[in-house]
Amino acid sequence: MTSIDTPALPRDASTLPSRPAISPTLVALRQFCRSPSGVAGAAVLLILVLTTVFGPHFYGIDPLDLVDAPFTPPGEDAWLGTDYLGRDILAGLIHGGRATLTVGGVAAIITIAIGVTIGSLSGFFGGVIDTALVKITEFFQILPPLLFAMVLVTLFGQTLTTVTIAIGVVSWPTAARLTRAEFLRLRNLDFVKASRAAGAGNGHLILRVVLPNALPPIIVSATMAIGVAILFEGGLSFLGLGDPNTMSWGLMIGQNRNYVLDGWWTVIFPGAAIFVAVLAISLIGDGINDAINPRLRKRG
Amino acid sequence: MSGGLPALTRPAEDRTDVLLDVNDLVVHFPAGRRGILGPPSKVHAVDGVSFRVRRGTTFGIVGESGSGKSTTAQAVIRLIPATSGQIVFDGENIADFRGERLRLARSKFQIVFQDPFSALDPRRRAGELIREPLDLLNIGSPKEREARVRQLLEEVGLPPQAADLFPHQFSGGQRQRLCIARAMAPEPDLIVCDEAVSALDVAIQAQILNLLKKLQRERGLTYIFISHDLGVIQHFCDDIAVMYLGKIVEQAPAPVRAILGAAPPL
Repeated sequence: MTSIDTPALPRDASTLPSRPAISPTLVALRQFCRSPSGVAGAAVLLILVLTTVFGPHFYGIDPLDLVDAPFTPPGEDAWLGTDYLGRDILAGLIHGGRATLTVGGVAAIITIAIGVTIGSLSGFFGGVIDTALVKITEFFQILPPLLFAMVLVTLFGQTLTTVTIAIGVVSWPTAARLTRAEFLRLRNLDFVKASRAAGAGNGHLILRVVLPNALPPIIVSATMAIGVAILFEGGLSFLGLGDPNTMSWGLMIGQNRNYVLDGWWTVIFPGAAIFVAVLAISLIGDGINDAINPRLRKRG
Repeated sequence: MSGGLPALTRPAEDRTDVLLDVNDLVVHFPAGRRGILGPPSKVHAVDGVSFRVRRGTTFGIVGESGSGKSTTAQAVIRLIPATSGQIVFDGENIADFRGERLRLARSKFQIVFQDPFSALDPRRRAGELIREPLDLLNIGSPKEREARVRQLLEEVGLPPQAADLFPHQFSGGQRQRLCIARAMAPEPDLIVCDEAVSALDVAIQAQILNLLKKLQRERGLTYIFISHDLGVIQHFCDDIAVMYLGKIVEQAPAPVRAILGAAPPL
């Protein structure tokens, strides 16, 4: 152990791969494309989105127009029949999908935005901030979400915006707890300390160092949040707390719920639409989960 | 080595050029309380530690697991909050630094961790990782930073194309070289090597130690070198402190072998 002064330092390039690896994001994307259920879900969701975006141009019937006799069964007059007022069900599905999917997407964004903000501050700083934020999270978590959303919608008016915000406001605690747990796990790892030593401030550490590494489970939870929000919108509308002036899948079910036995098509078709959309989103969520969690990959 | 560099000699015993002077450093961790109203209990991780590190030398800290070596070193460079004590670095008490002042002062003291697998952000390429301190501390123009990254890779013996690779594409020794390059990036005066070679196998250990020695000779770096490997400590360090239960129990210049006998058996 005395020959410390070896004159030349051997270069250490022997085993270096010649080509850089693709980034972790691309690896996950590639993996996702290999999961059949994930791809199927993505395809179904894409079809749904395209239908609601471009459908109205091809199927020019206004969903709120009374086009035929009430309870016209599916047939040549109206492909999927008409509801209790004589409004076209297919037009309702196409136009209502816009509202429903938008509510789902925006509510999920609100959920994740609030949840990730609170969870990351809580997990990163710890101490008093953590205690306070966890108490707030728990307060929101013990409120029954549907009841709380109903109160909010009743208080602030039955518009699509209120419904969206209400859904976002009641469903963030799960995301917050998930984010907090990830931050607690990551914040003491050496590379976070190394970044601090390299001159990173708290903002940089949270946004650029810890959050990107905490992101995979958050993305899965965001995907699932879209499905939950769509179901929530359906539930609120079913209880008569949706926006009565905007056609949505939930509204169709809610308004026709008393006539299920007179015209099954008035409720079954929007119900099936919600089912298919939520199923597709769940499959995507599963696909992403498998793609970013290597231990689950073998499961197929 | 180019010829003009001064040979590594043990500096004389003058205390004029002290880079780091740690005085009565204490680090306590809260450990819950007994009952709801009971007094909060604490873990005395570091319990009144004082030492001086002369510029251009290597200060070794040995001790068994849990003796507070790493906590001491990380508290000295303000990665772990110190409960009390003075940390005089280059004439300034950095224990009092807060916020932006502390952040900018960090360019002067860097750290190399034990485990090169967890010390590098797995989602970023080697080049970005080495650049990070330069970007964060706003050192040089973007073009100069690019050049500096290449130069640093060269200095630690990695080819320039390594900059495009992700950490998982390197071997353990290569990763430790990356960590050293990154620590070197802002041209610090002091580098804490927190068990920097303990996780590497013996052949790689020797390479990394030689690299550290080379950088010290070329740049007059000062190291705080933590290890539980007495052999490594003995020939790498100029001064050695032995820690036990949060206190320095022995401290002496390296040739003194007696203190090594005093260290708890490993």
